[in-house]
Amino acid sequence: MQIGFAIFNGLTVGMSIFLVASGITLIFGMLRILNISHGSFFMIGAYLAYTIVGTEPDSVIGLAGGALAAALAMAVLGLVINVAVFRRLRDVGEAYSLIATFALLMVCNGLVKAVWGVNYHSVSAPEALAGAISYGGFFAPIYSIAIIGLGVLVFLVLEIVIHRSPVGKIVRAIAHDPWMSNLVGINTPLVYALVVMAAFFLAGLAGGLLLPNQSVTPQLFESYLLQSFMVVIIGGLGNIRGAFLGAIMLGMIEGLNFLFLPRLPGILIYVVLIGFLLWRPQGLFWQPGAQTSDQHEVMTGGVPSSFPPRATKTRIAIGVVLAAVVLSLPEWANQGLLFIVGFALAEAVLALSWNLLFGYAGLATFGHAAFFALGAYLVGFMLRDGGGVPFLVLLAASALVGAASALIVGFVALRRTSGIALGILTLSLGEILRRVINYTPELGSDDGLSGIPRPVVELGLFSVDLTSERAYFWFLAASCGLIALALWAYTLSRNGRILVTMRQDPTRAEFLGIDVRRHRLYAFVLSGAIASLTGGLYAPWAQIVTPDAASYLHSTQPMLNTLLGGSGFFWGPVVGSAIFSALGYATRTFAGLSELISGAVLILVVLAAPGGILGLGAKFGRLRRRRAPTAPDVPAMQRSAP
Amino acid sequence: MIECRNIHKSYGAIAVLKGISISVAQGETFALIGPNGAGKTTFFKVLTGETPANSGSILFKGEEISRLNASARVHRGFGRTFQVARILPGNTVLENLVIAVEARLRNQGHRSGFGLAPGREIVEEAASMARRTDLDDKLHQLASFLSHGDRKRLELGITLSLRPSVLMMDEPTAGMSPSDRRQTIDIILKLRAEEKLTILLTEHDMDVVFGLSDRIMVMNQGEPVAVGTIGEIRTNAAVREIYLGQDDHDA
Repeated sequence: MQIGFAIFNGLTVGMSIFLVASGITLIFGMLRILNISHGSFFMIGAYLAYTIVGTEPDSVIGLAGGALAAALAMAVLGLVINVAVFRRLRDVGEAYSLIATFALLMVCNGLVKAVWGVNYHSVSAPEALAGAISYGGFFAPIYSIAIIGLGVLVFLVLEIVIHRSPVGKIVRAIAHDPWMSNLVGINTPLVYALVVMAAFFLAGLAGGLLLPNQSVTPQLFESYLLQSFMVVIIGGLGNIRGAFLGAIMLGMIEGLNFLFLPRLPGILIYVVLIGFLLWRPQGLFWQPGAQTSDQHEVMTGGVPSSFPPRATKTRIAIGVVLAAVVLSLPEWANQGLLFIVGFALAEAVLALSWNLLFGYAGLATFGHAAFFALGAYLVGFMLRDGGGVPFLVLLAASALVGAASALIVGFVALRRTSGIALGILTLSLGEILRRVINYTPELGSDDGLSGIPRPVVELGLFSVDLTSERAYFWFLAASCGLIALALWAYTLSRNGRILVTMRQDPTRAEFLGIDVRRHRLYAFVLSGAIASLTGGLYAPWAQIVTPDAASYLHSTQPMLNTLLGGSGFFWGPVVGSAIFSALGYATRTFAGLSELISGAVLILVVLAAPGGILGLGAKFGRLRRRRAPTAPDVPAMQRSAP
Repeated sequence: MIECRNIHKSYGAIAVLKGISISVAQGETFALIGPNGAGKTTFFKVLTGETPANSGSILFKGEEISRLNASARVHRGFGRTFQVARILPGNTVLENLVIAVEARLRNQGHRSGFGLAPGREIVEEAASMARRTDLDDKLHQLASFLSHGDRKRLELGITLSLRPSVLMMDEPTAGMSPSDRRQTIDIILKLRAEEKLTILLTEHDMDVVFGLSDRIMVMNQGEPVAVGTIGEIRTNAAVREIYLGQDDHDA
């Protein structure tokens, strides 16, 4: 009987997810954009419907009417988003379009917080849906039955429209080959717009109709986002039947999880997802044309230089001034600012290590924070409860643990996946780590490790006391600076040139005698080691580490920093980190404002300046230089154009 | 030098190569020709290690290499150019060649020194390769701005910087203008003499094939039709029927 109940509950969850996932898969199937923000649009739909129907909808008609109104409003919003964002994303690489939709998610979430506040609302089901029917010993809420029915209905409608109607023929033709479809006279932009509107309509409808099943909070997007992702990945991106089957599978797995692992809710689905990605990265149903990683990706954002620049006076001066400003901070800055700068330094190095994979090796991962969290928890736990292991040993251990886990993950992941599958795989691993930490009381569960002491470093003859804030700041700044310089030197050596060769053309690299898989793995290991070491340096600075350190939101931070600064430049991530930290500092008192601004800035960067801020700077610099031609010097290794 | 026996390859249910055997001697230039879909490119990929054969053996200088991946074959002396030139578009011509010279040194087991920048002899070797491939006036141009013919020449320079013992060229003059084509043949002839190269190539242009090759294999539908010198191929009745007859207008 418990099994029956678990299955029924699972189906309800699965069908709710399907309503969101179907929109994601529709948009992907058409536009080849994996819309990470779809869960947030679902949330906006829910808030709109909530505003219309209030907390006590008086009838089923009232609830349905509110949902319909929200759905129509969302369809209009979809039209706007399609024109303003999606249409422009077709000219950028896969990773960039993923990040742009993530930026949309930030804007949506910020907007929701700013408009509706951060409070929690709950909506009760109208009376007609509030009851339950029982059959034998089995008992099922009417509302759940209605949701399951709705999910099946939406599936049938989509199935008939896409696979059995003349309209569907056009839609499938475009999905298969947009260029050819355009050539034979199909108005592809119109169909794109209609599909996006349909997807947004579904998100709004789902948001309205699912109101009574959950509390309306600004976190509403999260569960729907990750789970609908899993559904479309398992089903095969862009395939409605796959999404439907995937949703049922997800429901069943959740049910099993509830039965067998009640202490670790939601973890089984990640395990299944990872198995799926490794076994069948293309999902249950392979969709023609769904492979989106192509040559285009390579050049968006530019390729970083892998040859040492000339040490001009200006460059040296900039370096010296920056170092002096940062190191003198404890003398003149207030405590709040000092703290922010310390965080920004750690985030900058984390972003540098991520860009080693993205900008140099051409691998976009979405779970980089997991390595950071490993190091942070290792050092934090040992400093607090470990009993006197020397700090420098702990730091070395954190780098080693990062390297070892990256070796294991990379060995499997790089062998089997690339592109979107690699991104989702790394994202899932990060989420698993977060959940494991969350359910481990020894690591402080939800609250994290607090009260981490700052160490005294024993160096034999003398010891360095890092317990004061100033002392640890200097140590942190010097360490981050050294790591960054060492990494810079690495990228300017023969090894760096191997990386940019692989990124630009893996096949050419292979025919230069570079074992691409092995060198990608090296980059993965180095990047993981640095991320973990950074986490280790960060723990005593913050003196608290929470599971959020491993969350996907934290994983996106290095991406945002890198893209804003410019992935085609070694120092781009540092520039981005400085700007985002300043933004966060300036907007810290307004709920949602920082997300709103960060997201908007990021969308602008991806759409208008994919080279980031440094890319813009280089463009202007070139324009200026072009007016004053210089004589070419043959043996010097210098580029004459971007 | 290269000895292939009985190579079979199929994509799913479709058999693309149905038992190909060839043997190429040191210093020889061997051309694969045949109509579109004959399996030339697939055979090429099997030889270079981009795709594994289902069965058969490949011996290179007496060593069985059919299980090695592409980069391992490069270490043993393979060099490869593509129908659409594979170069590094985000780097300059000189940087492309420097990276190739460095790659050779690494393949030969030279460790890099402490300096980050490539050594002077590396840059000079790269610059001299640019001269030999007629690219010395474009050293500091980004490769993405090169014309089609220049890209092909740069790719040839990159590949020769590896000092391969066998050069594999997939349609070295595909998509070139007649003058570019002439220039490319001249460069290949010159470099072949200088480096004493063994060359394997596929090509549609009969002028190029007859201008470069010592021996030719004609393929059709995954099977060898004839192997022989230019004279033998010209007079082979089977070849005339299935290939040269239809393809005359192309030449």
